[in-house]
Parts: sequence; structure tokens; C-alpha cells
Amino acid sequence: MLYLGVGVGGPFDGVEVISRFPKGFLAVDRPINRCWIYDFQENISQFVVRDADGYDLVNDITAPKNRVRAALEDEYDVMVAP
Amino acid sequence: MGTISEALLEMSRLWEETIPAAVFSGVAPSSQTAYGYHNSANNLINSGQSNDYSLQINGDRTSDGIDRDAYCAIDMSMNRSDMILVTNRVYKSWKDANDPRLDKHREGIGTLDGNNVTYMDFQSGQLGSADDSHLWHFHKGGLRLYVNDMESVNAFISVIKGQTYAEYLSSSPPPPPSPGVDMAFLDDSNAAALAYRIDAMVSGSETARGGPVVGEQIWIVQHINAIEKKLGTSPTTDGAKLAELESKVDAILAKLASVGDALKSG
Repeated sequence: MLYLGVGVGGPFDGVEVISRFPKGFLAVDRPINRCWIYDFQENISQFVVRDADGYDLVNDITAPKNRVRAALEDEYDVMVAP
Repeated sequence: MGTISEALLEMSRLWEETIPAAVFSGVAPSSQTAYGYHNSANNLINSGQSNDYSLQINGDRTSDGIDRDAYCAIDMSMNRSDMILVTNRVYKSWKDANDPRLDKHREGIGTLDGNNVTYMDFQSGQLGSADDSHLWHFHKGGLRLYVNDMESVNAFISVIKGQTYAEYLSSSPPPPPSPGVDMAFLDDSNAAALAYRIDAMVSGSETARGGPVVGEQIWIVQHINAIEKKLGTSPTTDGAKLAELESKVDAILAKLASVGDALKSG
């Protein structure tokens, strides 16, 4: 199952996105160490950014919330920010 | 449920090292009933998918001794230019009949041009396509038998680095001896003792560990014993006699050294 929608806000604003997971996706920019969380709103087929400024990327796999854990779980997809 | 092998996680780390903007995107299936390599063999069988394509060929069958609980595919997200770069490097290795680095892997999905998705079956040689999510993430799946095999991981990473097969061979540690070759296995203490002996022999400082010649350098004792044998006397067992003989040997060696120096300078 794939989830198709348009990004709203942040680096994916106006971009058509495919997520493999139902809750949305995490957009990651490793070179600048930032990430953005997009939540999928199925009724309007949009991925809406939670905070357009994004967050510091958490690479520490022992941290409670980190990008590797997001990749290993099945709720949010993880993809490179454009 | 299923497990994620340390080898696949290491692959994600090495991939990110190789392609600085790449991001580990996942291993686990999107659901426990999803088809293909992302899912484990047990999940496939238990959900009535024992005829799934990822369980059919040599190296994928449950009878091959695969890890039945392991998820066996990895996704790496990359920007458009890196997707094109990596996919072309994999494609080139795949098409080279003299390059075996993909032999332990089943499939790769990416994009050669940034617009069209390319499916590569490394085992059958089949070329195809897949969904558009593979424009932004590269999928590497199977073979299940090698999901815990770091050698296959290193071979694949070498491909995405852009190394030739020859470069990969020259940069890799030598393969382990083939089965049937006699080997001595050393535990840590034995290895340390062996290292000590090699170092001692190279430096000429290995000494006797017991008996009347304890502490003496082994090579001196051996030479003195040989001299005594030729002289018809008993091997060295007396410390005083040993010291006397040592002084004679030292004198002989000093003489030999001076002769050697004279020959070199002359």
C-alpha cells in the first residue's frame, strides 16, 4: 500500500509525495542536520508539515526519538529532503 | 514479527558514509502481510504467501538454511542525482559478466535517468520497472541466505562507491582459506603467546624460561650446546660453565663482527 499526496509547507511544499507508511513521513537533510515531520491527512490527500522550520536531526540511535528508529518502525516513511 | 540483521544495519551506515546525503529509509515491511524481501519468510508463509517470488530460487528457499525470521531488504533514500549515480553503478556491475559482487544479492530498484524506475534482477538478468517511490529511494532485496553476511554487504557497498572489481579485491582483506585446508585456530592467549615468540625471535631476545640456563638467550644456549656436542662434552647444565662459554662465544662474535666491518669498509 502506498500513500500519495501533496506536501504542504516546509521543503516538500507543493511537491507530490509517495509515502509507504500511513502516518506520513520524515524529511531528512543530513548535510545541514535538519528534519521535518509531515503528517498524512488522508481525507484531503495532503502531507502537512508539523513545523515549517523543522527540527534538529537526531542521529543518536540511543535517543528516545531518532531518525533510525523512525526508519525501523512502520508508521512514518523516511526520505531525503529535496 | 521479524528481525533486522546487523549486516543490513551496517550496510545502511556504510551507504550513508559513501553517499553523504543518503538517508536510511527502512528495512521492515509496510505490513506483516506485505510481499517480497522486506518481509520475513515466516510471515510470508504464515500469511499464505509461501509461493511468494522471494522464496523460490536458490538461496531464498527455506530448505537452503535461510534465517526465516529476517527481513531481507533495505531502502535508502537519495536525491535525484545520487539516485542516478548509484543506480548506474549497480547497473554497470550487474551487466559485467566478470564482476561477481552482486551474486549474493537478488534485486535492485532505482532510476537510471531520474524519470523512469528500473528493476534489476541480479539472478535472472531480468530488467523491469516498479512504482515511482523508487525515484527517491533505492531498494536492495535478497538473497535471504546472505542477510547476515558482511562480505556480501562489503561487495555491494564497493559497487555503489564506484570501485571496479579489481579495486574491490585489492582493498578487501583476503578471503578465508577454503574448506579442507588445515588451519590452526588460536584463542586470544595463544595468539598473544605466538606474537610474543615471533617478536622475540625477530629481535633475537627470546630467553630460556626454566632450567639451569633460565634467562639466557635461547640462540646462545643452542649454539653452546652444539659446540659442546662437537667437543664431546655434555650439554650445558652448569651456570658457571655456561658463563665461561658465553664469554668465549661473545669473543668469537666480536671477532667475526670486526672482520665483517673490515670487509665492508675494504
